[in-house]
Amino acid sequence: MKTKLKGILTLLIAFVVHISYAQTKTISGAVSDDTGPLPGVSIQVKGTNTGTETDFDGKYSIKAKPGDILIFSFVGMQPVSRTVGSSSTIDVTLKQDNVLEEVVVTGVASGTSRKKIGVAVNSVKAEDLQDAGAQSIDQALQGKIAGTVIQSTSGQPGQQQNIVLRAIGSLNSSQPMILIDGIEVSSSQNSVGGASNLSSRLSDIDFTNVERVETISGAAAGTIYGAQGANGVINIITKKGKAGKIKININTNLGINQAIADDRMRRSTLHRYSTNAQGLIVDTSGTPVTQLNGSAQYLAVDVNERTVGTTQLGSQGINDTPFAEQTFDATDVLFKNALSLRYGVSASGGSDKIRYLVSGNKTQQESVLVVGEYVKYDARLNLDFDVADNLQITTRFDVINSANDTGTNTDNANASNLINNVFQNLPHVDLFNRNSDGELTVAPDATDPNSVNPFFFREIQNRLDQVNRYITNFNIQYQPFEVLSLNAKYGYDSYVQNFSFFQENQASHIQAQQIPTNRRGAINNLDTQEYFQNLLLSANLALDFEKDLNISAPITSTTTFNFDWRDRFFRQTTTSGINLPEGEFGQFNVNQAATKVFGGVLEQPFRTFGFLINQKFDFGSIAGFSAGLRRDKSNRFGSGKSFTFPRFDAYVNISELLESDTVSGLKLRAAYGEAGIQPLFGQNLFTFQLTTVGSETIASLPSTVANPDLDVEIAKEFEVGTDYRFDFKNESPWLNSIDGSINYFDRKTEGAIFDLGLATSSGTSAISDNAYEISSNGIEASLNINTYKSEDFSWDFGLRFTKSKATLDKIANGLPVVVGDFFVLEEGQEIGAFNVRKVVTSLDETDSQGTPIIATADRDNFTVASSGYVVNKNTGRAVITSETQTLGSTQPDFVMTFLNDFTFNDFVSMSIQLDWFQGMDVYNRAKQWLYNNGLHEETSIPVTIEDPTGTNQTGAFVSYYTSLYNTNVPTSHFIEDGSFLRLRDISFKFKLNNLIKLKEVEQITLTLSGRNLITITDYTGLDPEAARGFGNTFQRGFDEFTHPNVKSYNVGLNITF
Amino acid sequence: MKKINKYALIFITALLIGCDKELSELNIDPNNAIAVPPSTLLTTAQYNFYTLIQGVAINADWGNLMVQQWSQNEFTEDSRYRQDINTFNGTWQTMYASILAELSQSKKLVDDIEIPVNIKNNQKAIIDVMSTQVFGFLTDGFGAIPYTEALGDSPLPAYDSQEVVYKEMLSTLENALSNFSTSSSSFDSGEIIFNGDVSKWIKLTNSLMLRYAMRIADVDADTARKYVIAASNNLISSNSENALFVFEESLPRANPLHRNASPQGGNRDDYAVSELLVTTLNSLGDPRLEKYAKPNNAGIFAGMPFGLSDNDASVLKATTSRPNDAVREATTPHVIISYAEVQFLLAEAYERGFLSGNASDAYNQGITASMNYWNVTDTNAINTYLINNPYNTANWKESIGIQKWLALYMNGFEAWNEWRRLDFPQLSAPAAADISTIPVRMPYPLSETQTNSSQLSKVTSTPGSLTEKVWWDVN
Repeated sequence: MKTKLKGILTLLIAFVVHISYAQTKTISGAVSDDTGPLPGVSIQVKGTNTGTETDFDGKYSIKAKPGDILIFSFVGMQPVSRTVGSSSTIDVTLKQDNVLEEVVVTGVASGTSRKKIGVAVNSVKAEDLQDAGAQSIDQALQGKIAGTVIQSTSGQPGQQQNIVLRAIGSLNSSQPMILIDGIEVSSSQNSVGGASNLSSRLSDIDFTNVERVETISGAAAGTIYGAQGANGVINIITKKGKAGKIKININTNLGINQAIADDRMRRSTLHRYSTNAQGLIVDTSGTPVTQLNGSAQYLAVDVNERTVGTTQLGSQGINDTPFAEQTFDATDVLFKNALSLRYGVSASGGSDKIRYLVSGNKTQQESVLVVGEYVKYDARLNLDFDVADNLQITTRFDVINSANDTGTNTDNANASNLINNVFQNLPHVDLFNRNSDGELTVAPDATDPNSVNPFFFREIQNRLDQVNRYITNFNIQYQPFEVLSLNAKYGYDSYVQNFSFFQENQASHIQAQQIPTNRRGAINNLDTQEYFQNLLLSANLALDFEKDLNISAPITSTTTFNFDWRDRFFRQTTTSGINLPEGEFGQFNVNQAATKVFGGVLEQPFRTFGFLINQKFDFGSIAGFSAGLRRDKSNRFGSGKSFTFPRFDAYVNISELLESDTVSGLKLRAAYGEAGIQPLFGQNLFTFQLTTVGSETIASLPSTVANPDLDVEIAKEFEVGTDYRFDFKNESPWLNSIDGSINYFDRKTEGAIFDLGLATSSGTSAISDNAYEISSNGIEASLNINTYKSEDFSWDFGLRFTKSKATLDKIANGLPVVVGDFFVLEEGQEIGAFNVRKVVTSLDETDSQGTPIIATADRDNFTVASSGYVVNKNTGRAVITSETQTLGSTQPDFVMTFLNDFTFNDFVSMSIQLDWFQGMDVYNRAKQWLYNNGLHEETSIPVTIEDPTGTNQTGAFVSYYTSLYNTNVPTSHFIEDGSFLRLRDISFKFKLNNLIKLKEVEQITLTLSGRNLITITDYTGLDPEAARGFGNTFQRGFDEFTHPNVKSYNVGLNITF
Repeated sequence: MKKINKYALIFITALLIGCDKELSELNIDPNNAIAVPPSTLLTTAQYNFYTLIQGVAINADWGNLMVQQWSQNEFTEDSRYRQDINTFNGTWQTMYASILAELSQSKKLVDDIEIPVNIKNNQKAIIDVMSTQVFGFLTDGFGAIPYTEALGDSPLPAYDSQEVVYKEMLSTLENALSNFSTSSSSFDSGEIIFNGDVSKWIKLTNSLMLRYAMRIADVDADTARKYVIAASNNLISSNSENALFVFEESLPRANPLHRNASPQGGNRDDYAVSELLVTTLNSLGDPRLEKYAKPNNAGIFAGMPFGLSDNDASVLKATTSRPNDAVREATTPHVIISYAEVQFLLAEAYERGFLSGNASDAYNQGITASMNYWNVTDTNAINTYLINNPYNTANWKESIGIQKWLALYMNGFEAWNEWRRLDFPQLSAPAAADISTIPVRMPYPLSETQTNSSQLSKVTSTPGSLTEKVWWDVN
């Protein structure tokens, strides 16, 4: 019996074994992601050592039995498990990991999964940067990141937008650091003819091959960047090649641009001049002024002085006579439609060992204001080598070449400012009138000897800015041991910029005497060379307590040591020549000028280095904290000094503790960090200024004296926030997920550097000093809701909100500093306040000492006019204080962006972005200029004034408006609310490949979009968003005929093979 | 692991030390100098000072208008005394923080270089005389000013009374004279008035001492007498010895009034000669009329009434006479102090009994010198003029006052100083003006009210006042 059982048992076992052995089979299939096959995907049979990888075509085969679980995993993707069933083929599509799993590289000592970071890092994916109308990466980022306020301050091609991350933290610079793949590149802006005419290096950077952009907004995360991290960091991570078949992408875009002016800012349609019987304006002899003289100039107008009772109210005339002549609309005359064009091609591919991406673009942007365009060619090559399993090298080469002749002077009301000069001519003056030589006039209107014809200057002047730039970077990642990884990054960014200003010799012009400068022509050359190097070495030790140290606790420790070194060489040479031969631009160079002048050389050496030590502990993925220290030295600090910046952060993933399906992510985090802002070049070096006059060199003292004891500015920031994601897995197509983050920050900058005003009788009017303390705080919040999702329709809604305020807490000697006449830095005031004289609004108003502004004895001579201002009953002049006051604030109360994405079936999608800037004041200097001589349309609005006899006199009295003009002194009447709502982008994307299925073509997308199409604002100038003072931290919100932004209509085609 | 750690440590330390050493080498500004030859600062200071004094802010828009020799012909606010604490803000700042600071730095640099003592003394004396002129301008214009504590370590310098300042100025000039030595040179280059000629500097210093001493004759006769006597033996004694600051032909260094009227300055045409000037010259039969003014389009000398409203003035603009082109050519010099002025000062000294001499002779000499300077060479015409406008010892203030007023044409600030002191010619404020008396001081600047108010409030509670007389301006 026993033997029989044994036998049956053996047989059974054999049978079972045979069955099981027989059922192990080969499972094969293909793994892909949403763009194509995925090589390198790891497939593991759960619980065993059996594993394999997908090949070049994404195919795999593995031995497994039914019931086994196969785990498919790949970096950055959500792992997928499949149970082996009867089928021998298992195909899998892997999806991108949800946001909380992605790896972040900015603001952290080494690449860390988002789930485990304690600081706020923002990330914008490539598909959100596809705004067709955006011409550069800063425009593409507008409104996308909570806490990053990017304001378009000019529509001139090639200029950078104003970027403020969180809040203004320094008086010298608010420009964040720009990195490409973790290496800093030059983002300087060299002036090419004026404070609002800057050549931006940020506009060189190609943004069509960007995979994502990561930003950190302040010192809390900026510590790791040391003495340059306080203003935040924008890290542009470029697309790399992927192994597989070669993939080609063609991207084209065509747009029509128009200047934004709408109905704002118009010249008056009523005038105050004497007219003849036909209603035509006449000069003192009675000749109609449009009867041009030999120079085709308009004759001088004669003011029709009126008698208004017994007063002087009409002594400068009344703006109530309509023009019988043809009048010209200033914006019609100034602006034209402009074309912008971009086309580019990229190819990527590679094998397991080498992957590449090569691309080239041509961008062309015409100007809406001048005859000129910005043409840029750029090309790049990305290479990734997997030299060994533990050694990867990536390298990138960028070549950029651009030529920009759209430059004009739009920074103040000077003779070369086109916009200013059109507006400041009377509306009946036809600036395109030609003289007897057939040439445009120089000074078209004899009424004002300073009248200038901007189009004459536009024809004879050229401003050409040419840039050749090469950026290379190398990245070596080596992992000698499992726990130790080493990384070396090196970047070299060099450019040569040649700017040339040319003015034709026009000495033979009939009105040559009225050409204010360079009558016989001039060439000014500004040649700049800059080399920037950044070396970053880091070592990362990652120890898992259980695996590596045999301590049973689910803790991982990450120790990082970073060393970074920066070096910048900058040299700028100025040469000029005057008295040129006759001829057009391009026919000769400065060598042919009769007088050649060497204008000097400017060099600014810079070197800084520092190291960081950071220690992080993570408890599984539930919680963690890290602490670190960064120490910097620089040649900009007083000699021998170094600065140390500490940091600390912690997080807790409540979602891990909750284990709820709905709460897929809920993290609370807090961080504290200190970071610095380096002094500007020369602020710590006492020198005399040397100028050459004739053949002598003379010395003088600079108006702001340098300070050899200067320290770095230190920003200390505390931030606390939450990242959350809720997934509602229900049947309804409504409300599928909500994710986002909310941050609160509190920042203090100590020792902010700026000129400290001193009593001039001490011999120095100002010294650079760490004399200021700035504090700011605010909230930034982002919210993304997947509102509706069904087969045919989906709707995603996004909100970005930034609210912050920066205040000047302390000035070392307590004395307010007036900057540039209009702005004042005063203790306790918001940064960016105006320094103006106030128009008096009540008869018993007193000044700061309590003295009545209008002496009681005089009060009978004054009255409150219908506009609310106190005016003199006899002359109509408004009463304005002679003391100045601090009024207004250029910082917005809040900035909000609404993003809506709609997808209709597979074919059409639409997205809308709305930007809302609320509560920022703008000083409308352009309007102030136009109040003189009754040019602005507001000066023809009648005002009612009670005259000395008690009668109410009504009229558009020019003496009233000219008194508000106040000889161009800063006056409260011109501070306006510049809040606006702008339809930043609306686009329709058509996925044509879903209609037309072509072999080899992976996708064809047609995009129709419009940018800045609609603006809703109460501001009366051309564009509330454009304002002077580029890259200037607090002298913003100042409109003096600045170049408005453009609205554009774009069509684009993107094809991938 | 240990080996790696050791190598890593060595590598890192080497990296840090190597980088550190180079940082201090890079901590320089290669574009500008840390030390310069002191003469280069002197050039800047001299150029800036005289350009300011001859320029629009102090001369055309203030001095010439306050003594009513010019009239504004379109924008007449300055003629109607609409000045306030903003008017001289830039001027004050340039005087202290540029010119005086540069002179002070220059003096320090002179001390640091290795040159013979006599040359050093000459150089420092020249710098001192320059500084005295600047302080002279400041106190004549503003009254009490920071002096002893200025340009030093005190961040909020206290104000000194004009009396203290004047006494210090005169003593500084005296000191400079004792340090000058004609047997040594001074600056080889960079001193752009006399090119370092010490004997000319001595004459200039004495003449300036005479001027400042006479200025305080009414308030402190003893001090005045002392310095007048000290100055009297080596003064400017002919037109060829006039102390002039010469401007250059090229526009950036040209006469500031010339630049103002040039296309590059905006083609400004804001000034006409005043009606008062024309009628005075006419009634005295003065041959200098055609040198001072230009006939209008109709060929007549038609002065613009002073102090009209903007509108009334612009109506007359086209038909009134402009100043003669020669007074604002590119190279028209600024007269620092002239032989004519010295003679008028001596006439007064003789009259007051400080020195012994014939006041009438000096008066005649002064007029003749002025005529000659203005290229009136017809001796008959001059003699006729002298006979028709003789020195009147009973009304000596009127005689000297009116002739000095005429002789100081185009040196508006000094003309205003002397008008305030001598009170002739008799002028009155225009009807359209904001205040009813002619300004007798410059308003303090905004920057002092803001940055130094604690000190300023000790000397005045009305910094913007135009009517409080300065110390030496009695009656």
